[in-house]
Amino acid sequence: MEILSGLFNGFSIALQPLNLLWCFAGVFLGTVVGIMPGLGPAATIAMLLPLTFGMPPTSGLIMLAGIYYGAKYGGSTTAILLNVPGESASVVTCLDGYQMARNGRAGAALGIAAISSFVAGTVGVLGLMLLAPPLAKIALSFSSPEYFALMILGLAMVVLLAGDSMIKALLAMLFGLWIASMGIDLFTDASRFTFGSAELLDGIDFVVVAIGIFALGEVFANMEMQGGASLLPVPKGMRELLPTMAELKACRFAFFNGSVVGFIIGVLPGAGSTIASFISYGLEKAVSKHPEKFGTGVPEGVAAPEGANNSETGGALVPLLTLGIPGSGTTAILLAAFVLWGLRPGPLMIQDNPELFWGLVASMYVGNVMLLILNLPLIPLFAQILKLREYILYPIIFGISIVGIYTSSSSFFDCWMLSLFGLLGYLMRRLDYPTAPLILGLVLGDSMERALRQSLMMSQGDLSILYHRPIAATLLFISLLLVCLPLFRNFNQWRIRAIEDNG
Amino acid sequence: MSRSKIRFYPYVLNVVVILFTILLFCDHGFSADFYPNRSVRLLVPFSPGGGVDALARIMAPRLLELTGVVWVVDNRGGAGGNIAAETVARAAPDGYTVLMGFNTILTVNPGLYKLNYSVENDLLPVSMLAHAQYILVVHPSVPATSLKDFIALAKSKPGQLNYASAGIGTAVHLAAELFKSRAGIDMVHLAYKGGGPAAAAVLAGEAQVIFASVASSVAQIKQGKLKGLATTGSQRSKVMPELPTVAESGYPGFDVGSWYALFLPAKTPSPILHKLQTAAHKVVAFDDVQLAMSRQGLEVDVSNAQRLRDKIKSETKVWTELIKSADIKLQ
Amino acid sequence: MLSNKRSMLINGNFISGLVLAALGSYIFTQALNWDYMTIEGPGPGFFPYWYGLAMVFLSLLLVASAILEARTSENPKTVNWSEVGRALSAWLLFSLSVFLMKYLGFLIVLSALTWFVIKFMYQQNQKIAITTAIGISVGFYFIFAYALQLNFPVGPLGL
Repeated sequence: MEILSGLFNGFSIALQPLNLLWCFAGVFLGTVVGIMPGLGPAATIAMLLPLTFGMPPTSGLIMLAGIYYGAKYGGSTTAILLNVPGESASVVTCLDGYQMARNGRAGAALGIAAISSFVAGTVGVLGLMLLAPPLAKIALSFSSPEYFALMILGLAMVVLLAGDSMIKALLAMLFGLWIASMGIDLFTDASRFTFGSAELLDGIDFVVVAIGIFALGEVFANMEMQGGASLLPVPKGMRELLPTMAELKACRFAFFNGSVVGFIIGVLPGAGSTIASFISYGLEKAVSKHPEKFGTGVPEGVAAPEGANNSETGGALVPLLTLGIPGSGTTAILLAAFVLWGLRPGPLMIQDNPELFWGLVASMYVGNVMLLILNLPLIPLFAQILKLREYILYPIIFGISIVGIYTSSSSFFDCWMLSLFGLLGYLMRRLDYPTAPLILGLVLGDSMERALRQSLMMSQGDLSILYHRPIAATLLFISLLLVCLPLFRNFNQWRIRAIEDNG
Repeated sequence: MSRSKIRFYPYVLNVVVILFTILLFCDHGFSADFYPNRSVRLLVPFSPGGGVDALARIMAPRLLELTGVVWVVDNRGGAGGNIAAETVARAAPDGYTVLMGFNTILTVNPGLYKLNYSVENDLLPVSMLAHAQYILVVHPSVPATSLKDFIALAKSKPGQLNYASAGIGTAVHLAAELFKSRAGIDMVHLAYKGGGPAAAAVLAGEAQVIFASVASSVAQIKQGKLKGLATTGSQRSKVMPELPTVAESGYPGFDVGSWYALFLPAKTPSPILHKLQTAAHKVVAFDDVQLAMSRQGLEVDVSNAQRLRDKIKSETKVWTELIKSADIKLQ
Repeated sequence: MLSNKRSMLINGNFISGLVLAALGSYIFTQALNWDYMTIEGPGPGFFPYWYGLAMVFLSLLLVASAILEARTSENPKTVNWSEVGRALSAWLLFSLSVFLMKYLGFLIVLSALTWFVIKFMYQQNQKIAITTAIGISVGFYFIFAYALQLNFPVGPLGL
């Protein structure tokens, strides 16, 4: 009852014309910065911070949060059309989204991304509304050993991302771990693998690697042959631009999976949306009836990670609002905004400022509807880009990649790294190394190492801390199952063959 | 073909000469009377988010009002802020590149990194803007209600208390190291990636101790999720005056905090310096700038350039010695 | 075509396996320079030690399987170097652009890159090459620099 009256109150705030306008401004800006690589929600919110300083906090929050979740909608666009991840969270969307576009289903992929984002975004708000206070406690019970187990679970996904050769997938993952450990060691101030370069002291930015390997590597590989062979089939007419009923049906579980996994991982301040989308993609593949088709353009492979990275925003607001703990760069800026508005996020904030909390929740329902209405008509427009001849498309991808990297760091060094990883991406394609495991290792390596070492520091070197805690033990057990999965499959195939041979 | 090339060259040469003249004119052609006549770049040494960035962005529109030109906030994070500081140190001394300095960059980094510039010789202090202090905060499970209890507890359990920091060489890390050496206690350092995870670790009890900023911990202390023991400045904090300072609790001279100040490239002519000093003193008087500062727990402080220079010198000495004695190394 | 790709793969596995084995041993030997264990817990050398070792092990496995496969398959054919050459020259071109960007600015370099790709790598006529090159740069300027107020590397002429 309390929730209903709170929500009613919230809608009466969110539906005020001025707040509707701020909400629209937020989600619109969010979509734009999501589409453009190099422009992130973090930088955009920081830029608008002074503007909201004079606004009532509720209106300010409605707009800034709109940018935050709106950016997740837009991030999939360039990932699907150009294999350029617009945000780090859309890396996983590249895997099947870009392949769908190559199969002529670009419109369908974009549509599924938008619908999945809408479903999961809404589920995320529901979770935020119903579960925020109790979940905050769970977030705190997640300590280093649990994070370590979570990262192990993530790394175990490599068996699901491997192509023909497990050895090559593992090698790619180890390479990712290596890149992740470049820079200053967090605990002992040793600098590792920096080759004496000051720029490498902070490590290599994840987006540089992702754009280099996915976007540039793909372009170089396509440029091997002049014309013809790799021209993309262009969707024609409305029917080809929208997902079919069959495709939507295939995504039923993915919508649910993405929403739930994304929200749960979002609540944990030490995880992040890229990990959420990897895990929901892995889960989708693990339960799928046709796991071998993943990576060739299946709609579930788009729906699951896109859903996960959208409901992650709802989850990430839980520790921010109830504990004052930001889990990412973007939520850190939201925290700075709270401080500037004179609010102190903490256990009592929701009780003390009900109109702010409920206004935000209601505005997120409204904002998600706005985003769906805003994004669906844009799909035919964006799909037009595939009509371009490849010799026009490739320079555009070059340009977007450079802009994406340079504008976010103003560093020529990062552009050099981009070029280097483009070459690596090409060589990996040429030599049949899967690229996703490298990204996986890169995303998880740093956090895993930190969690492991922190756990052992806490326990004074006693390894049992890693598996004596219930949550950690469960996660490790699931990882073990996951690693053994291909063995079971092989065994099963061998058994069937043996039976057939005998027969 | 070759003929057209020959005719082409003098023309190209002319264009090049004209271009160079324009470029030279742009660089040196204007004196301080005209300053500022184009946009000023305000370098923030961290990525967007956090106190320094927020302050710079609140100040920027007010600086536009005061100087009549746009102030562009340019975030150059990386290498503990050295990249931004070096950019300003090497910039043309024309007043169009200004550093929003944060104390650790100027006082800690010289002892921690091999810098490619010299803080003393390449940067010109303009004016201090504000300062803040930290609070020594512990998890409620720690059985100590005063600083004295806490030190006694830490002495009885050497190496068993963990303190969290936002990373090696951050202000919070060094504050704790300095406290350790002054109080003669031993605590284990747990480094986290940024202030958020570090705060979470203390709330969860993974680490028991942290030196936190006033703004981020006041709510948690008032609600009993954390215990504040002492503040680290030379005077009691205005936000939590009930807490004693470390200095008054038996460690005189203990004065650790954060401060913000503006810097220019060293050779900037003094008329430009004076113009900026006036602007800096005026900008902190605006209501919204003051409000933004007080909400972040900052206190306005416009000490002059000479006092700023002395402060940098004395603090650099303290940190450099601490970095040596505690054996903190980065490269 | 298939056998061609196959033989190259075997070759590629062999070579990339060796390269990765070298990288793995580099990582491993570097890791030996850092503390493996400290009194407080695992040191900076702990992690690289293990993944370096794993890398050496797996890459040698790859090399071994490549040798085995090369034995069993009949006369390996050569790689289609002209394809690889095209891709590598595209990469060189990209790297050159990054280098020149510092001096000429982003827009000029992007036009030049576009022009070169269309004129020489895809051998379209001059008209297409020049109009596209200019069109793309103008488009980038309007979308990114004008509408979104992002800053590119700027060259002479302020472009």
